Amino acid sequence: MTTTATRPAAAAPVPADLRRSALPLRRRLTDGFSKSLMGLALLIALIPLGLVIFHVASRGLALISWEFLIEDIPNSARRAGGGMGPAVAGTLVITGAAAAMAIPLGVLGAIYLNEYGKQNALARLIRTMSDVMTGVPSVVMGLFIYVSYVLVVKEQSGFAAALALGCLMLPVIIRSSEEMLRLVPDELRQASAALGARRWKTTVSVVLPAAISGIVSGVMLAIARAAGETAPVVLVAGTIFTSNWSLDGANTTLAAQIFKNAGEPFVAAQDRAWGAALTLMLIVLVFTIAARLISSRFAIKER
Amino acid sequence: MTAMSTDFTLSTLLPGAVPAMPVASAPPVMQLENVSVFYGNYEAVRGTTMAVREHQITALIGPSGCGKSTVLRSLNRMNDLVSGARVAGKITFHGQDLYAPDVDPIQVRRRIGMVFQKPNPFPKSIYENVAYGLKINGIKDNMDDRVEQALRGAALWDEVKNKLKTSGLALSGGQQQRLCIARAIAVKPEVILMDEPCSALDPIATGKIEDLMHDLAGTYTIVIVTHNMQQAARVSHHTAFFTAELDEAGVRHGRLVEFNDTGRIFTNPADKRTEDYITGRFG
Repeated sequence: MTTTATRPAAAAPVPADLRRSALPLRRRLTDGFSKSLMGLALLIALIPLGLVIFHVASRGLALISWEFLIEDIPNSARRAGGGMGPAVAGTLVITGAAAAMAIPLGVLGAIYLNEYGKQNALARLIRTMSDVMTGVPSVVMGLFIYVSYVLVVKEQSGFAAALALGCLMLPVIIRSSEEMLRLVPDELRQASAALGARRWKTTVSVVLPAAISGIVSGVMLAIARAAGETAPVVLVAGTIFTSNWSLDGANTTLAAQIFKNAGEPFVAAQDRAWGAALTLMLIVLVFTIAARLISSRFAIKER
Repeated sequence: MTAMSTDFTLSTLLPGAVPAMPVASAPPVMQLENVSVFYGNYEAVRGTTMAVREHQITALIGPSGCGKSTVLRSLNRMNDLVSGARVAGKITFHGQDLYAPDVDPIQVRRRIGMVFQKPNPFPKSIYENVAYGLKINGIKDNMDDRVEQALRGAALWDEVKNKLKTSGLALSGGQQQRLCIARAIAVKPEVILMDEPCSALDPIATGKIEDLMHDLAGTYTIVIVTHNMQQAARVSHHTAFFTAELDEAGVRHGRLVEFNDTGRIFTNPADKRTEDYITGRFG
């Protein structure tokens, strides 16, 4: 070609050494340094997690047994033995009821925000309000339910605790679900609309399945947070020593029992607190795994 | 110059590709009368008048931003999904005004289907992709047969018949687009709108889709938007040429310049702007 002749001379035609070892020392050092920094950051992040698991497991494992999970709580904190049966029951009942109230409301709210309301005034108001609600400390939510519900019906109950936890979960579920719905590409909605699907049909059969695994993640996070909430439960649920599987009447949860027993000066009570802590972690773990399995059945695979 | 443009015929673009069908005889399925499309206060396309004839392929061509896709999307009320979009003028489908107040856009879209620029199969199995439209239309019997028919109609059956349960996203781009066509024809629309259906595909896949369009034209009325003039010349019976022009206030609007049989548009365009565009002196 004639143009090559007029071009400025190219760099010396030495065959390039493409090996990594041929890179300048500085480059290689920077590379190694950055990589080890990232590895170190990961390790540091894992330390608290590992320590928590190690500590809770080492102190709680000796306690955990089938009896511990079902037996009543001794009504004297200094007595050894007994179990956390009422707290396990209460955690399941109260968190379950809170989830049953907050999940449908939250997911439907998110669907409204992302699929229907979009940027209208109501949708924007709801978004702002739920952001504000996320920032409400759980103890304040507990006091709110205490004033507006417990004082009105004049009874501490599991249902009151479920209300408080549901209120805490709701904004988290709304916002995380909305984010997940927003990630669903608009092309899919258009494809569905072009086939003559109504908006609701599109939402249920195309948008939700595409977002379900993310929504489940957000919901599980909210449930795990709620299961570990202490202050509202202590305030509005009261306490009991025998299992109460209903939402009526006073109840207790594992988190409330950890708080209560850990504050006792007696070794037996402190051991029970460790056992309750490990139990709570295991319950959350089991439910997270179960939710993953269930959502993977509904979720649509990429490939 | 004029001599050059008259030499630029269909046969030079693709020998033997002149549509065989008698073009003007077919009855119009859709009519556009002085159609303008607005996004908010902005008039994206102004004053379009043209017809879409039964079982023929009508191509909308023109440079980017000329409003051809906007016009296409107004034909099955997909523009309704864009907030602030509004149509002025009259679009009729078998004489019915598509934008009359009591017209249900869902019913419109069930009769006038659409294939998009980027293949957009649902993240579901191949079978489910095709069955989806049938299910939402309340069709439940002979599902397997209907799915097979649609996939055969889209010339995809032989390639996917042994993997109907795999995800539609696992197919190649060209196969995905044919899956989208199968999905559209499964609900048996009268008209299929195609918005640059081959722009994301390689020449071989494009050829397959074009062959498919020829086959489909026997059963369906097709309107296709394309950037590719050769494609318009190869597949269409009628061509509408759009361009974007500045008005007195300096605002850009899309306009229909010329609408005619494809042969006429490419061999003997009436408008200088059409001639400039198809001979490559524009854009």
